[in-house]
Amino acid sequence: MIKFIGVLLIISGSVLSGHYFAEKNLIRIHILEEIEQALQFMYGEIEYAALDITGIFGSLSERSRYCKDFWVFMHDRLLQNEGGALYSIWEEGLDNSVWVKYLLYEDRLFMGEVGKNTGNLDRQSQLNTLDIFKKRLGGMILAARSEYKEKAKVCHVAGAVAGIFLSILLV
Amino acid sequence: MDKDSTGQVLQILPVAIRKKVFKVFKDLSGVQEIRLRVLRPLIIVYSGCEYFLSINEGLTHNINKAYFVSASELREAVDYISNYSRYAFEEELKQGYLTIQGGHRIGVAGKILWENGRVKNMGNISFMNIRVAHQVTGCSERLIPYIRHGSSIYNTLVISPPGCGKTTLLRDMIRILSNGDSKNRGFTVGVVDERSELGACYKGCPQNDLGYRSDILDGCPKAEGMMMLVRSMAPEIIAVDEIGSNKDVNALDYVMNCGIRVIATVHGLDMDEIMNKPVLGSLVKQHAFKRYILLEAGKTGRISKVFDERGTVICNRDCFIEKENSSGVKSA
Repeated sequence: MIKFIGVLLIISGSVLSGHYFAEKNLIRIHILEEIEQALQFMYGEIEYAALDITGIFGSLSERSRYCKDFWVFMHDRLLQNEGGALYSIWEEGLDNSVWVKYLLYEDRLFMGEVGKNTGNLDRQSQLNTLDIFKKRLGGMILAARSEYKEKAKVCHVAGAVAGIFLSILLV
Repeated sequence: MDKDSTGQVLQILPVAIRKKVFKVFKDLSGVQEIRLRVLRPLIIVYSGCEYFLSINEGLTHNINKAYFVSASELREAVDYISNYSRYAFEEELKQGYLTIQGGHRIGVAGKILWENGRVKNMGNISFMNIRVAHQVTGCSERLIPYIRHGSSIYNTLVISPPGCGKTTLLRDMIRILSNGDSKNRGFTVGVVDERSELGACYKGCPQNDLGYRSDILDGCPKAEGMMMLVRSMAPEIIAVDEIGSNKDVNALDYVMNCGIRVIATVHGLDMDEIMNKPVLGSLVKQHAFKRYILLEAGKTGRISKVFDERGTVICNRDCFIEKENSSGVKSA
């Protein structure tokens, strides 16, 4: 009986961890989609309202779900005028954000690049740069979506197989 | 000057300079200008006198003890002034100035990018002049009876050389006419604020008090702005600062013919100079303006004379001095 419970626990634990990795991929897609929306919002606000970046971050903090803490941090820090370039504040914000752990290394690099190219450009260059970022991000999301189903399947199967393998090995 | 206003100016200074300035001035009441120049000493104009910010503490006249501004500090100040968003202030930078919260005016100079005979942008901002706003509330109080006419006002032109306080005077006239008082009703005043000097709007909010019934078109060219106000806001009075071009004068003529009263300011030394201006002169000769207020050259905010449409002096400096003496109040 105890062996049976042990096997059950090992298998369910492995299946759950497989599910976690699959979900992580899904959350990554959701975050990337939210960032895409944020870039689109920034584009619109810059083009039609010429709103400054602090105001845009403030608005994003109200409409964001996953990245809320990041936008709040950026908005508050920029309002304080306590030194540091926008890029270094942006990097600090990313380092302190929990949702960044769901991103891949290249996603994190991409976010860093967005910060580097935000704020200190003229209007036209800023809009063009955002356009380029939107396109790149669109490609990343497409790739992530197409890979997601396969990856999820692999994660689930790998989790289950690992559980069975472990239970055979241990029990 | 209130704490908020002091804070608004201090907030745009680089952190190192901010701390030093805050040690010297807890309140920026007497401060008129703060000038930052790259690799040059920081200059503060305080109560009409110029000082260097000291490297140790306080102010000094000794250049060897002066605090020198670094390039990175200027970049930091530009970041703060523009809220880290150069693109949002492109138009203002093209004109060489921008207005921050509190109505304070920041003049900037640097490398100009010139294209098709126009300023395209300004880069490498290396010089900055922070002009601390001080609204002089009540400075036009004694003038108002001369421009009121029954339940309306006369078309009025304020004439003065640059730097004599005509914008300050106009701002206060707008405030008083817009608010009204116990004896006189307030007017709906449309203000065309091309250079954001009257209302000093920041994110659409006027930072200067222009009264309860004023509508402000901020950053709009005067001629177009006057037409827009006539069509959209049904003003009883339209106020514009520094009319100059033929287009402005023609727009003024149009506005007057719509039954709207006008208060405007113009650069000039005296009535003769105004009469000799090609387009504005013809408007003056047609007696379109019923009151002319002349400010004294070289004396900030001192009213020299008030003329009627025929150029007759209806009030001079003595009238104001007498009133000041009898009422014990300060000069406009």
